[in-house]
Amino acid sequence: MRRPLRALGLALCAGGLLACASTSPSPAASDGPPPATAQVEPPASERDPLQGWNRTMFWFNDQVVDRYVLGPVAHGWMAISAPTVRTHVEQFFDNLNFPGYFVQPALQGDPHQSAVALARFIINSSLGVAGVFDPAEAHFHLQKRKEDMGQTFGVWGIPPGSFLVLPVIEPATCVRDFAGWPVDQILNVGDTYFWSWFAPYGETAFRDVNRRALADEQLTSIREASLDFYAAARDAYFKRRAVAIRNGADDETTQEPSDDLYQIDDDSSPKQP
Amino acid sequence: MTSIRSMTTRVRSSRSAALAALAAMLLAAPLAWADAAVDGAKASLQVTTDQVLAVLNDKSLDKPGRLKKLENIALDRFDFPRMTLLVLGKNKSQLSPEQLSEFQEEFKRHLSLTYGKQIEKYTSDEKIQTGDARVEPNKDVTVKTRIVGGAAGEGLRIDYRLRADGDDWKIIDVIPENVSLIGNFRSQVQEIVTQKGVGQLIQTLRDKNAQAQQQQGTGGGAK
Repeated sequence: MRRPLRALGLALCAGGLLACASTSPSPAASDGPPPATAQVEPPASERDPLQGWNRTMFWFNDQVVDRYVLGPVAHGWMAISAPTVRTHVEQFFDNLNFPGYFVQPALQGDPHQSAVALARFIINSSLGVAGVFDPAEAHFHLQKRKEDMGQTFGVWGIPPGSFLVLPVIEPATCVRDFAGWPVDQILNVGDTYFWSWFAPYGETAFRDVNRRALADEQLTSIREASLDFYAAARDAYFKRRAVAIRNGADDETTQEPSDDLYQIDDDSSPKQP
Repeated sequence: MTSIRSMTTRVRSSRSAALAALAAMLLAAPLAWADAAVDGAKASLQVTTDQVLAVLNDKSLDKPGRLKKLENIALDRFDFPRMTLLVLGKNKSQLSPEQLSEFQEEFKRHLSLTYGKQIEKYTSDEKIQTGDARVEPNKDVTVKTRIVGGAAGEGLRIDYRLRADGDDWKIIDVIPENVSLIGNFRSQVQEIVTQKGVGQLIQTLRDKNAQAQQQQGTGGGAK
């Protein structure tokens, strides 16, 4: 199980980097002649020049990987485990992400958060029994904050770039965040495929199954409630990442897009670019 | 000499007091409005959540009955026509009046079906905490809530955006974990309209609703 996944992961890693390299210049160049995929109406898919590839991969992840492998296994796991067990399993893995949660805030100029991450790691690894419990948040009010290289790039002002879907390993990402992937593979130990080279058992697979189980309800509801599952997932990805980069600081900073969103019906003549 | 000085200071202080009072009044007027808006929106949302909780805790209802009641609450508390327009955005101009009214009907059904189904998962184990609210630049009010306990696990943040409707407030957007429902639907609508056209948009919505309705029916029948 691990071997093919790992090999696939690496192959895709290389492939993804090639994709980054070949696509990143195109948005800048698209000012002149419109790209081949451009329709009469440009906006919605502006961040998605790779839509053909992405939709195919999204379909593959959803209708093949999830439907026949990951989903059924996750449902099996859900049948024999209590929800709290799944939460604690996730907390164990997330605790291992400490190096990333410590280094990234420092790179973002937020050493205070690095200190919080350090304190959380010490407390949860000891009192929290190797991270299974989270006394740091429960008793010390040290809140968890997930950090990765992509967020740091975002803080530095690097735009997200094109949306990107990769089979199995990245159901939703973007060029910027995927560029941070190699760093995350080293630092965010609980999230990586890299360290599983050195781990003898199927921890990585177990972690992914557990995560899929935790996301089950959400996944089902998005599937059912969306008209275009792919477009819904893409929109949610970009929104969530923007919030993560602002560290959840409230939407008060997002005034321009959200205002436009709520205003447009009052303007009977929408401003066309 | 001393008396004159004390008099001038008194005059000056009373003048500055008047100025301060004036400034306070000027500032307070919009602040008072904002407070009233926040209170109104919060109260309105509270009524809604109380209604929902009452339905969820009503053990005498069977599943279809409960869903029906939740849908009715949604129909009453959400401003569906406005939500439809927000979701369509500038694509609205591409719909004929008949298509617009059909879309509006189907979208309303879609939202009330999915909303009912989402909410229906929750039981009395979960608690809804109403948090801060803020006034948006366009005078909408966003109220933060958090669902904790039970199936919500670590806690689920849901913000509601409300717009004044006469004396009342109606929900115009639901924002779970920072992802606006309206924004999310708008990008889907944009995608479908660009790639497949308006006809396909309405057809997709119709299919989705038929599917949801059917599921709801079988779900109820199994009970």
